[in-house]
Amino acid sequence: MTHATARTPEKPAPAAAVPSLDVRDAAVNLGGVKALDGVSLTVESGRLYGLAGPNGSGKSTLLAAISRLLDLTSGSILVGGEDIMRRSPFQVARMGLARTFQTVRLMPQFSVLENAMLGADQSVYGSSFLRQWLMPWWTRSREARVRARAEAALERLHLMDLRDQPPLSLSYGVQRKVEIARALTAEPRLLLLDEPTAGMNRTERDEIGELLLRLRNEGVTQVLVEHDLKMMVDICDHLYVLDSGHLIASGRPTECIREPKVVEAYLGRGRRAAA
Amino acid sequence: MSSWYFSHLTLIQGMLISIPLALSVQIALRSGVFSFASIGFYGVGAYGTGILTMRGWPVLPAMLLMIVASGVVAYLMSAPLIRLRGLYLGMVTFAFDLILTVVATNGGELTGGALGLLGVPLGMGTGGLLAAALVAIVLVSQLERRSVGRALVGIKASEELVMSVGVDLKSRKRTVFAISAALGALSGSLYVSTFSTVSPTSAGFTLIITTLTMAVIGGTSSWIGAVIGTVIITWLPTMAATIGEYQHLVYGVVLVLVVMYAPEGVLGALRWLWRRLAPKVRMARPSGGAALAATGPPGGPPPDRGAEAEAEPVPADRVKG
Amino acid sequence: MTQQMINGAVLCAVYVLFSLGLTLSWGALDVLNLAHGALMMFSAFTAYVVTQHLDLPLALLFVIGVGTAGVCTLLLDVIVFRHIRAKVADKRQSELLTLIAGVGAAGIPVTLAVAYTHDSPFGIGHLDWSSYSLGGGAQISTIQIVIIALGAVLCTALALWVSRTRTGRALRAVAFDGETAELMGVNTRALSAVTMLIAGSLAGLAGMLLVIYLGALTPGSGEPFMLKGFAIIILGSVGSVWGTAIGAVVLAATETVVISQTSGTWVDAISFAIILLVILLRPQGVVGKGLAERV
Repeated sequence: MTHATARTPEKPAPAAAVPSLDVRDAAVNLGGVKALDGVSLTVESGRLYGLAGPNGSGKSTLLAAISRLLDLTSGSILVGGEDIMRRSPFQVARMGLARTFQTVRLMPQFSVLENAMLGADQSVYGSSFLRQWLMPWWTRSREARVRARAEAALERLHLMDLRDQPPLSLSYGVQRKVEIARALTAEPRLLLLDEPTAGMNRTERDEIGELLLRLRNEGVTQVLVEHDLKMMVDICDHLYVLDSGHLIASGRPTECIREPKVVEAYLGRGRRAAA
Repeated sequence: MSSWYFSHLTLIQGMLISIPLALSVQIALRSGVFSFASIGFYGVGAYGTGILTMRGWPVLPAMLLMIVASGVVAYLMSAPLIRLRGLYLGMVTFAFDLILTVVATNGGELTGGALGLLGVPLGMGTGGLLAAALVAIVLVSQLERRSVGRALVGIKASEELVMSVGVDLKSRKRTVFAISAALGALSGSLYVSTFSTVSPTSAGFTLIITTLTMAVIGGTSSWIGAVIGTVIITWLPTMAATIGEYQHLVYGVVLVLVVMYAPEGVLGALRWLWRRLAPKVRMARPSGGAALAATGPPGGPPPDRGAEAEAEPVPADRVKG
Repeated sequence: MTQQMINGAVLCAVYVLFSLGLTLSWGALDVLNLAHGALMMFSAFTAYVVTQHLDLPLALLFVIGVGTAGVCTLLLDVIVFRHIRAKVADKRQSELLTLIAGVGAAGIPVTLAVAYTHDSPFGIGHLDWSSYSLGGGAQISTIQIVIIALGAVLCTALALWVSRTRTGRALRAVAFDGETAELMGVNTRALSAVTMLIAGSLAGLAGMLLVIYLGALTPGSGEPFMLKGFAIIILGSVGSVWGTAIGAVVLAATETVVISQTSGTWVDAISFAIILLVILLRPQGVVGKGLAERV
């Protein structure tokens, strides 16, 4: 492909100030329902964490709280040792946190490439109106830099051929990939993935799994929420299991999913009694 | 040509004056800020400039002062306003426009009561109007490009998304609010120093209808839409002589029809046409079609999942933003 | 003093009738109908046009006026608002388009009235009402009694309708979550039609009472009423019937005091001041909770 030449060489992950995540006694009440109830967990840098649990167990709520889109009722969250409870979502994003959403959020009026570029816009040149008006040469050079980063991300997801397509013309699985590409364009140090492979077929899932492993080896800390337990067991370093807003298990994936509490949460009480 | 120009001078001037106003609404709606406030600031600009120039101020400084003051006031006002949800913001800014009519009517000698200001010194030639309209177009169109443009469209599409990619949502919304107000004030200032008069009704409810029609009929997705809309609305009455006093009725009907059947306006229709024609153009280039085929047929598993998802926001939508 | 209380009560009753319609459609259907004020004026205007040609009894004029506003609002919902709600999935976008369509729709009755009356005041007569002395120089006329009574009765009736009847419960269910309500068998289309018909009729009633009480309205009379409606809704929180009543009392009382103390030209500014104060202090409204929250 001709686009391949535009790809920038992979930057090594910055060694200093790598953030880890520390959730302390987090609780969220949504209209009287305890979506999260006293959850504490830590995420060490450079590793791939899985967050499992049945529907409604609080996984997405926890991701929303970490990205500050949702306020904790009590408790605190630290990123890289810094309390983020008084930070805005955009400030947390600028600390190097990127995320994908459970429901795809792509702009229908933008091309795939532009959607991906959105991920790096702020860290590379922000959205200052004055600069936009007064320094066209400066914004032009930044635009090129953002484009290069977006193209590199699209390349990793094999989406370069689709760069000019409007996202709504693509299948749901491909849209999810664009969603991941946007997060990668931000070159995050901490990446939150909310069901990145929903709607994908087995091959595509394996592809994403391999990608996440490569990212892990590059030093990107990841928290993965996924329905596909097999994928989680295959690739995660560590698994946390939530049920009804509580943390019910934590440990190495293979051991973790055999714990009685986890089996019960997934298969129900009756099933376990029968077993 | 020149006789045509002189016989239509008022219309041409009116059109140039309306462009910044239409842009002021367009930029707000494009960025997901449901605000009619710029139409109120049109009144502020018109009255302010009129009052100042009638007291001996030169036109340009008076205009500049009103534009800057409107922008600053709007920025300060926006702090509590942008916290409001869509309908509330629409309501409050609508109320703001209506209250300014009350203020103008009851302003006594300063605002000339119900008659308004008469005999404001003229200070704008058509050249000046053209320059002002062009400046407004350049400034607004620049905000549709690159990072800034993507962030603003993003605000409208999903606030959670733009926050999660690091856009300072509040600051962006407040700045858009201020720019919109400044554009409104610019338009009002131009009006009063071109036509030498302003009255409470000329900045009232009918102006809201006219301006919204201009912005919406052209399409709010781009500055081009606002300009197209302004041109159409300026020249529409001349095409149908019978419209006359029923002008605003026609605007009202047009506005409702556009909102119902072509919410993207003329621009949207043009884009739609382009999309129909584009594949034929793309046939010439082999790569485009092949790329689509390579990823399998579009709309595989749950095709309407995206739409469903948009309609049902994550709880966070209600808690924040 | 007694006289001012009577004047205030009349004002309050008209405000309640006007605002209930506005708050009902917003609370239940997320429709902020910016044509509400214009249609209030239009009801009186239609009655005025009829009186120009026919000599009808007052009761029939009321039917015509109230019916006009009710049917126009219903048509607006059936033809325009419903179309937008069905077509636009994104809720924010659909709210915005509804708002804009309302502004456009408001232009139609206002322009008609301006063209017909040459933008001058119009009335429908019926100004002679017997007055009763209340002592201390205070008087109350029959029409004042009628207005106050209608305000109180209809407000109570509406509150009971929303809280006690099956339809009212369905309405609150729709306000809380339209889609789920529909799945549970609520006929949302019929319900929204009924709501809009009631909302419009209330505006029409307010317009008819006002034109008789004041003697005349102008084509632009609806706009300051929108301001007042906004202030009342935001005081009482959206969708709440009793909140609306309390908001109307507060606004009417404040206005009556201001009118008695000053020349009264700034009275419309009070509404705006209230709106600003509430937004600065308590964006979610002052009194009670809306339709949805009480389910």
